[in-house]
Amino acid sequence: MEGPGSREPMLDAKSEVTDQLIDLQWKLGMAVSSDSCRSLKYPYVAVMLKVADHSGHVKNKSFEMTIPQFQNFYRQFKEIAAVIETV
Amino acid sequence: SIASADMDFNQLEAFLTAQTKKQGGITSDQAAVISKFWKSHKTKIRESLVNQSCWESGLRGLSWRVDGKSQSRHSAQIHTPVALVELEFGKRGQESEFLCLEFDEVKVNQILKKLSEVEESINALMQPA
Repeated sequence: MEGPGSREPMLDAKSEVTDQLIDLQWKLGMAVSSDSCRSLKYPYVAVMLKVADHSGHVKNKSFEMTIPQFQNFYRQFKEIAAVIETV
Repeated sequence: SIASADMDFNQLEAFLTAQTKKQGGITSDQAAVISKFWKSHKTKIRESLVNQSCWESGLRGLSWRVDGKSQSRHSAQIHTPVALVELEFGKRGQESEFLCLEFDEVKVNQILKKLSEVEESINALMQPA
């Protein structure tokens, strides 16, 4: 995953094209077994984002992350918090 | 069978030895080759199998920047910083979709609190039984 400055966000900072996050739900799951692998033993973080666009229309977006991906995700948000505090 | 059971090296040796003793099983040379292959590729194979079992959207990328928003109408609201986060998602073999979110400082901290709860859960899970 990329950090700040390595890629400009696709869209401009206009409220028409950015959504607001209303809620974040999470789940820590463990994949036990699957038809391709009987012994998966693979932990993952599942996240459900509830977002509203500028017109108030609400939609859900769910996705999964591996543990390393989650740790990176968390680290990026800590960086965001550190920066936003100093602005 | 080796990948499916995610055998560790002891299990692997036992399994391969049993296979060499079987009628129509493998030779000990073949066993040695298989053993070597598994040892060097185990992680990649496992990653591939894990990926095959994941059919939800995965997080492919995250970019962000923090802007200082200025509003001149109410002096109390001048210089409200806002974080813009672009998330890139994708399902296996499909094109990415993007979500662009805006957060103020309060929102960022709320999210951090949730993420720290996730981390606590992960740590609890990883504790030796």
